[in-house]
Parts: sequence; structure tokens; C-alpha cells
Amino acid sequence: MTALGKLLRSTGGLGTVVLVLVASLPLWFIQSSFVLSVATLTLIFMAASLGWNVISGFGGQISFGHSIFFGLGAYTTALLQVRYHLNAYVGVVLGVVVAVVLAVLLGAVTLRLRGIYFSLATFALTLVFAILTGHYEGFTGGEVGLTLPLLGDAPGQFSFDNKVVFYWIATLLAALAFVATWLVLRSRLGLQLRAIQADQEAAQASGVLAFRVKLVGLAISAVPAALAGSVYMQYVAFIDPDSAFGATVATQIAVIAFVGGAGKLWGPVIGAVILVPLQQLLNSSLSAYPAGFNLVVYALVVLVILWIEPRGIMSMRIRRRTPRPPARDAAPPGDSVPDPRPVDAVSATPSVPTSRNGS
Amino acid sequence: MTTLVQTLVSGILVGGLYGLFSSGLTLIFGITRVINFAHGDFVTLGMYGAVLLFASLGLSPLIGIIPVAILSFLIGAIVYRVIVRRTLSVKGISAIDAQHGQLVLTLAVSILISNLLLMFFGPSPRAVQGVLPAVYEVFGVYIQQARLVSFLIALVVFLLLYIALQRTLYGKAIRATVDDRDMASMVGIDPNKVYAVSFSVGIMLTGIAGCVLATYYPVTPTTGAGFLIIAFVTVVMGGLGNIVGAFVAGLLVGIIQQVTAIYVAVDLQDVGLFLAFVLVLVLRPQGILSGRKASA
Repeated sequence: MTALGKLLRSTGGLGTVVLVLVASLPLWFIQSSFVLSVATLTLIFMAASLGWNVISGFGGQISFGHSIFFGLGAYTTALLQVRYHLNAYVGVVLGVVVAVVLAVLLGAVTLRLRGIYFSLATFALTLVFAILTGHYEGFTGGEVGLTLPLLGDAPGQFSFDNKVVFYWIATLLAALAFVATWLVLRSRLGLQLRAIQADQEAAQASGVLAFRVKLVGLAISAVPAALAGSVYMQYVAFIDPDSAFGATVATQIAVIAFVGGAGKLWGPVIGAVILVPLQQLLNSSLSAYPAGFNLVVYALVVLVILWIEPRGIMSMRIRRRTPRPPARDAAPPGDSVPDPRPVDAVSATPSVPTSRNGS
Repeated sequence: MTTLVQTLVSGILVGGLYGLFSSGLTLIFGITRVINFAHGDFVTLGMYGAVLLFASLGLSPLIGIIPVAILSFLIGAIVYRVIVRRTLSVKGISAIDAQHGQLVLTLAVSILISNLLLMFFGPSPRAVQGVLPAVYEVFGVYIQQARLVSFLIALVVFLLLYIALQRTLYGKAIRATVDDRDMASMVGIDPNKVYAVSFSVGIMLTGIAGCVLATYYPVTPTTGAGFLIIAFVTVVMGGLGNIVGAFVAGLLVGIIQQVTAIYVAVDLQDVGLFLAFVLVLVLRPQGILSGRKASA
């Protein structure tokens, strides 16, 4: 194996290469401001979807309510700035705090539910948030939405004239979210979440405090979603109930991960790179296509990908690899310095019962 | 007092249609365990079917029920055959992964339907106008003819479904599969056939409900999202796979919605419903109308 091949086989190596590549894109590839905005939004939604992956991908609790945390991040930042004239960075931090508190409160109620019931409850709750935000218009701005004041070039207020700065902030956000989910996946918590995903009764019988683990997982997974919401708010400078809590955002965060591969470390990355540009490029407000056309294409692409492989793109790659002799996988994981584990640690850790590969 | 009676009557009349499309969902969800995220959009499709037949052929939605029912049945059969069956036939896939796959695939179908409708009909509301325009007044309570007739149709279609499930061979096979799927297949009931039939019939009932609903409810391409949650609320309240429970719960859901709309605020009518839903899920996940224990 060549040195390069070895580098690309480890998550850290591949991650670094991808990060350098992504961060340098504006220098040699991205020329127009439109492509730059598409790329920035891709990275923002990638971060939200990476957060989703912690509780829903690793933990198997499929949430259709991560838009709650995304929207709370966006609205907290915006409201503190517009109504109380607080510094934008303080708003970003408080947005995360609000989202985590809400995650614990909502999780305490909804995480007692299993399977589809959890998904439906979170979906209903995000729609409740959307309706309530629209209803209390005196405070939230209602259906009309909230617009941030134009500040010009004020780095101290999270406002930059040069939009490339937002791109790099979004890159940093996505990279941090990726590293965070990677660390969760390798940690005891990640192991417990995956055990719950495979079989909650068996996990509990082995001493996993399922409810507490899921609650911590949900709280962690709310952080990238909330940060994505705040950065989105600062970047777009406009939010309304539908683009914060609506059904489209709620499902998009989940669909990105499903298309890439839910429960796979790289799943949300691949899903976001495919789906967000697709949706933005065909957007009717920027082109001659009739309204709805972009989402028709979007839905067809999702249908085709999941029709071919219901477990997402990452599973296509792994299935092709399976026939090879499992010599590499037999080594005890994590003992040599350049981590020899393949990208997808779930399939490579033989001790964990996982339903992801049909075992 | 009159306001309360009026609210209850409106709730029950719209609830009948909720009950009808929810019994369609409970057939699908309770038997095939497919989480049909496109269910609300099949209601919308039925409504646009009625609007289209009325606008182009002048056909009353009451006659339009027949073509809409046939088309919905066929669409249901196609969606089942092409999409749902696919997730079950992938090699080495676990039951949970297959279910998640169905979830996202039906979600994509939902996005596809609502945006195709947006492309062809535009975002403005459409309605079938001037059919059944009379308004009756009974002891100070106003009842619109369209609402009354559509409630009665929903009731009749539901009773037909109930009789079919009780008396016909297919109905018995379906009920046997609900009770114990392994035993049913052991006595020679082909589960694939039962799944396909219940899925198609479920979509057919939904299409009929939409067609009738169009007589008084304006439709937009995004109407379906609200119906989806209503259908799931109703199915969960009635108890999974419980057809009668779904219909009764539909009436209840209609009442909750109307009471919130009248006594709290019109734009909050769904908040009351969704919060009631989360409460029911947390407190009585087996359904408030079901004596059975919940199964995961």
C-alpha cells in the first residue's frame, strides 16, 4: 500500500485531506458568489446533519425534529440581536445553550418513545414550534420573519463584507461537527448508543442506562444543529418560521444523512454534498424552472439512491468490499499509531452487535 | 351553548373524513408496518382529482369518487410494488433498516407529489365551487350541506370497508394477518398479497376521503403535511391496526381541532392537536381506544 493510500484509509488522514481541499476551494475552484453561497449552505446543513447522526444514526432514534434546534439557534441569535442589541457571538453561544436545554426537556418526554413514535412526536413538535413562532408575532416577527440589521463589515458583530469568511466559518463548523461525531463514535457513549440502536433490551440487560445515554446523545446532537442555525442566520440575515422549524428543514436534515448513510461517519458529508447543491442549483428564484421543479428533481434523486440501496450511499461502498478476506479487520482496533481502522468503524468493530450489516 | 354544539357538530362532520383516511393509514401501518409519510399527499391527490374532474368534465365530486377510487387503488398498488417491496428485497437488510428505508422513500414520494402538483397547478388554493351549497339550520346550529353529505359518504364507505373486512375472504385474511402474521402465513395466507391489498385499499380510502373533502375544503399542493400528522394522531389514538378505533378517533380529532380553533385561536388549532398527540404517545402509546397492550 502506498503512503497516500494509507493516509486516505484512516479517518484522520482522509479527514485532513478533505478539510484542506474544502478550505482551499475558494482559492482555485469557487469563482462566482453563487457557487460560494451554495457551498456555504452545503457546509451549514452538513453540520446540522452530522449532529443528527449522533442520536438518530448511531443511536437509532430517528428524529424529524432537529429543525427545532436549528431554528432555536437561528431565532435566539436573531432575537437577542434585534430585540436586545446583544453581541452576535453572545447570541450564538446562548443559542446553543437554549437548544441544549430544550433538547433535554423535550428528550425527557419523547425519548421514552420507541421507533416510529419518537419520529412522529419530534415531527409534531417541530411543527408546533413553527405554528407558535408564527402566532406570537409581537415577539418573533411572525410569519413575516426576522431580518438582521445591516452592519457592513463588522467582524466584532459576526458581519463580514467578504462572503468567503462565512465560507471558512462554515468549513470550520462542519469540521468541528465531524470531529465531534467521530469522537462520540469512538467513545464509550458511542458504543452504548450503537448498542441501543441494535437492540435496546439487550443493551439494558448489559448495563447500559438506555434513557440517560439517549438523553446525553440528543443533547450532544443538538449542539451542531443549533450552531448551524446561528451561522445560517448570520449568513442569510433572514429567518421565518417555515425556514427554521418547517417540515422541509425538519426532513432535509434527516434525508441528507439517510442518503449518505445514517449511522455512518461520512454519511451526512456525502449526503449534503449531493443534495444541498442539487436543491440550490435548480432553485426557481434563480433560474427559469417552474416553482417546485427543484424539489421534484431532489425527490427523484433521493428515490433513485434509496431504491438502489435503502441504507444509503456509504453502504454501497461497503457491500462491494465485503468479499475480501477480513485480515485487516481481525487486528485489535486502535493499537497501532496511524489508526488502521477503515472509515466506517461500525462495520469494523467485531465486538459490537450491529444490525447495520444485517448481523 | 349554541357555540359549543356548533363546534362539536363541525368537529364531528370534518372528523368523519379524518376517520376515513386514517382508517386507510391504519390498514397500511397496522398491517404492513410501513410508515407512509406520503399519506397526507394522497389525500391531496384525491382532492386535486375531484377539482380536475369538476373543472374539465363538470363531474360532481360525488360521481368523481369512482374514478378517483380506481386511480388511487392503482397508484397505491404501484407505490407498494415498486418502492415498498424493494426495501424488503435488498440482500442482508435488517428489519429496522428496511423500515427506515421505507420511511425516507415515502417521504421522497411525498415531496415528489406535492411539488409535481405545485408545478402543474401553482400555489394558489383550488376548490370545487357551487356543489351542495345549501345550509340547514337546526335549533340555531348551522349545518352546511356539503359537510353533511361528505360525512355521510365517509360513514357509508367506512361501513362498507368494515363489512368487507368481516365478511369477505380477503377481509378475513387481512384480519388474520393483523392478529398473528406468522400463524396466518402458516394456514396458507400469502402475506405479500395481504400487504399489497391492504396498502392499495388504504390509499383508495384516502383518495375517496380527499375527493369528498374537496366539496368544501380548498386545496393547495402543501395541504398534505397537515393531513399526515392528523392521520398519524388518529391512528395512534385509535390503536394501531384498529379500524373502528381509527374512525372513532377521527371524530375525536375533529372535535379537538374545532374546540381549539374556536376557544383558543384559529391558527393554533393544530397546536392543540399535536400536543394532544404527544401526550397520548407518552401516556397511552397503545391508543386511548384500545384495550390491547402496546407492541414495539
